[in-house]
Amino acid sequence: MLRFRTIIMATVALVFVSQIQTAVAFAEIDQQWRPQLSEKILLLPPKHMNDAIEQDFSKSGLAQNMTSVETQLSDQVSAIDQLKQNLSRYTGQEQIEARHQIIVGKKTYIELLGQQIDLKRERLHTKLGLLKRLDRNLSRDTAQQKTASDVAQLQADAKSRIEGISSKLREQIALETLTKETNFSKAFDKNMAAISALKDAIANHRMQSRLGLDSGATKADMLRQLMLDTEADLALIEIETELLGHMAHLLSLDAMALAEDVAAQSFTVATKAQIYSSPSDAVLLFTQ
Amino acid sequence: MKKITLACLAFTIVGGMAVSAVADSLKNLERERALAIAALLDSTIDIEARWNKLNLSKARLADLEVMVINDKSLKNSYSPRVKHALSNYELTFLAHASVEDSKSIAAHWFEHIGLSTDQLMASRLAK
Repeated sequence: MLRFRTIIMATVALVFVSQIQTAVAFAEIDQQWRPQLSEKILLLPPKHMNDAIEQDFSKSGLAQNMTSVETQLSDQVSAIDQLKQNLSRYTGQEQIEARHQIIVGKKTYIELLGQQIDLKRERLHTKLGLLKRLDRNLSRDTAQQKTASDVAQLQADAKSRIEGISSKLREQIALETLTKETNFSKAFDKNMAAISALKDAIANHRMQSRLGLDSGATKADMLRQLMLDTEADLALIEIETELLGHMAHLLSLDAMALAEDVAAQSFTVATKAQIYSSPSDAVLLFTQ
Repeated sequence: MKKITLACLAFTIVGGMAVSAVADSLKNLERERALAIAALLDSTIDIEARWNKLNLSKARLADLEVMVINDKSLKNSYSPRVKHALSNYELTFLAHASVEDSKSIAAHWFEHIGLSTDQLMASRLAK
């Protein structure tokens, strides 16, 4: 009985530990951005593609992580500013401590900024990967559509010829005494008139120009433009990293200056150095 | 087991209905065109009956040709039959092409398969 109870306890403990591990694992996974967008995004108007990608990103754990880091950065900047403003009020050891706090704050700020830059880089790499995947799919679809486009072109040519002569054919059929106008013909005319009216309304709709549907930019062009923009953002990230390096360099110089000041102060306190007599000091004793 | 068999049967029937519900506009046009040409070449009927049949065919062909050019399913077709039919406008769209040519369907069809009066007159009898 005791053995059975031990086994149950061990099982419960094991399940509990495994659940904790799973929760930790999920927390780690949630920090990532795994785009949930499918190729259906390509059906959207070109101008809305980027919005859809950004919306997908905003729902990810990576976006939440970046927002959290951004808040910490903002808090850190406020704290450093506050310390800097109050620095003149302190003297002696207090001022040294305040300067030390500023340096610690700046160090934390640089660490957070480095973290933020890494997250930004991760976001841009994921976005670039998504855009490249969409571009590959679009190229594959375009290759398939090219084969079908021959038939579509032939059909379009036939349509334009038939539309040009259709009314004359209808007149001829109407003149025949035995043949009546068919139901299809009547319904077709009615529907075509309705389609024409709707097409006019679509062409004149104010959202038509805003969406850029007829601006001439194809989906492939838009994807290439988005990829170029993302590459440009990645290049900016590299510059930001360099900027961070300079900030860290300046901070290390500040820290050295503080260390020197602390050492100098300690030196001033400690050095009540013994001044030993020199023969030159006693020259007057002998000359006078 | 019986239930599974019935379910499979029902599924097959529904699937078959779904497939048969897809209209093949080009096949319908080709069928009607074949009937028109059959009437044109039918030597057992008199001129008036042929004229009546062709007039009825002309109205039906006019509708079917409009259906074919507006059939969006053809755009995604890779069938050589569809491509061949659309490439031969003069023979596929008989009703519209004959009006464009200002000729009757019969004259237009004979001319485009190489049986015009001039061509027949120019031919010679050979053993």
